[in-house]
Amino acid sequence: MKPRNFVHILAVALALSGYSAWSLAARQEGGRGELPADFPVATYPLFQVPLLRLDDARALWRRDTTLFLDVRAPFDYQCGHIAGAVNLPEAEIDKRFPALKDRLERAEAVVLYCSSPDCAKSYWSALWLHNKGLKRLHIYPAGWNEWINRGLPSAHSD
Amino acid sequence: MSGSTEDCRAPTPTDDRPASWPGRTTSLVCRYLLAAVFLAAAITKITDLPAFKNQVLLHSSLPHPVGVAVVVVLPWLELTCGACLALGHAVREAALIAAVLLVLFMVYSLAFRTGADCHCFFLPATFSSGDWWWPLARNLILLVGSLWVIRQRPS
Repeated sequence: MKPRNFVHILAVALALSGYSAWSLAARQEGGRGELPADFPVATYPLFQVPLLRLDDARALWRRDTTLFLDVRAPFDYQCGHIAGAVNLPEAEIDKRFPALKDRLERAEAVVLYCSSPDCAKSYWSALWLHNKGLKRLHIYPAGWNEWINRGLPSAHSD
Repeated sequence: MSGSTEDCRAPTPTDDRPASWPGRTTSLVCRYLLAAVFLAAAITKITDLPAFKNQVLLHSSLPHPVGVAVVVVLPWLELTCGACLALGHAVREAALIAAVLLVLFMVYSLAFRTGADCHCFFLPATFSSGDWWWPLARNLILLVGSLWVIRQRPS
């Protein structure tokens, strides 16, 4: 093996990386894409957070700019959660929020869900995050039960 | 005084035997497999950089500066390595870099146990949102292939 070849490969890759850096920087200057105006189907009256039906939640889930937050207990999350969702248990929200703050602020849409419409944790969590200044929050009230019953992508942790 | 001391040394044992044809064939298959995988992964990322950026920054657990570096450099490093492997230029060096990348991917898979979509291989998210061990197993197979390419003597 020739060290010169390593240098060549790395130099070419780094030179081409300039395109990525430029492209992403130019896109950031152009502003963030807005969500369609017809997305929210209802809003939670207390703080005007859109409530999503399954189709809306699924459409948002397909977007890479969306972060799904599972506010159930860690054990429930480990047993099964919406694919790509991050666990932010409502009971530990103040403790775990700082570690997630950057990701939540960068997301173009944050969707909170619990197990079912009877579970109020997503509402309490949304209110808490809203009070912390987070915008672009959405609640998916039917939550995990509906998602898994429809056979939509899910994951589990060991 | 005539002649240099080097003339008097016993020749260093080197293995000049040409690689056997099964070895060469396996190496070639591994090389083109690696090239195809790396090129596919790179092109998928490069053609949708914003999606890859969001995937890494929002859904991976990497620190932000590391995530940005990965977004900017990784697709092009994969592309360069894939091109070298496909074209037969600096093959062993490219295979070694590929092996290092694969080891890093495996460490990541093990550390975070994530089966989340990596925006690779033109597959939609639903295809790759399965079990956490799948990326690990896939990368292990590719790692074995890359090690085979590295250890193969140039013909």
